[in-house]
Amino acid sequence: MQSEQWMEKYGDYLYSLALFKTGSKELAEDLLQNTLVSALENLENFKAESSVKTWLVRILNNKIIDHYRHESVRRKAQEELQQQVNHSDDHFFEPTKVSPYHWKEERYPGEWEVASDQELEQSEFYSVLEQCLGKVPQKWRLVFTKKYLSEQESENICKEMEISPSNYWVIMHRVKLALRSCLELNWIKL
Amino acid sequence: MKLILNCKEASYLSSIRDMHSLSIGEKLQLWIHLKVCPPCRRFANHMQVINRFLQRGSQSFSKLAPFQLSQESRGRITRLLKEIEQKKS
Ligand SMILES: [Zn+2]
Repeated sequence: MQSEQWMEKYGDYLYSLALFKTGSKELAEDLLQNTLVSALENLENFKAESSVKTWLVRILNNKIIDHYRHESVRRKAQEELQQQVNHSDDHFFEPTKVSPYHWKEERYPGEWEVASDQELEQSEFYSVLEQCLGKVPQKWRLVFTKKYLSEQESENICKEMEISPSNYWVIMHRVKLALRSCLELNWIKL
Repeated sequence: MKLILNCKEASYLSSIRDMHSLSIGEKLQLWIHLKVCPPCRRFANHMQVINRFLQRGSQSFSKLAPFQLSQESRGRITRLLKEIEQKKS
């Protein structure tokens, strides 16, 4: 059966993508299911020139976008975004005599023992990354994973997510700021 | 062009530089800041490590598929899909 093959070959991959992008297991399962159901229903639209995997990923990405376009989800994400944008700088920096934004002492980046990243397995990185992404707002998470896991062009991401380029760069930066401290706590010091 | 960046600006440049190439002026500003600011220097090093992992991203991600569906959900979804396929044929 077609669907069994899909589940076998791409099930975990699509699930991982969905989980990474949304941060919720239940939602990721729903998205996987909806993706495969709609793939079955639209099998005649599948064009042999693209790979099945690419095609399924495209359907999944559309499902994720649809989910976030849904009004209530969107409003919540927007509020969350606003709150975070307002607060996240005080989190890391404070004014000093010489500079309006200097690292807070308790936020100083620590000494990382690991000088080269070779000892750190990529899969280990992903599992910590997934945990750490749980701490950033949903919309930021989506912007970030679109860039680094789906390798979408920045301009496309801005259009899809309805954000300005300058907001986009700030979001990427804020996610990395949060990520760095989270990695430092959960991974490097392991 | 102002020569002295604050830490917020310097950390911003360190974290976006893998996606967006900096201008000569920005590179100079960042270089000067990193010369005099130890925490930002560490931050910049950490960003290099993180960015390297992230850049390897999509390819290895698709090979690894780091998360596994639970057996239960896998079974449930597989059954549902089979039903749909049988109805179709
Ligand atoms: Zn600094």
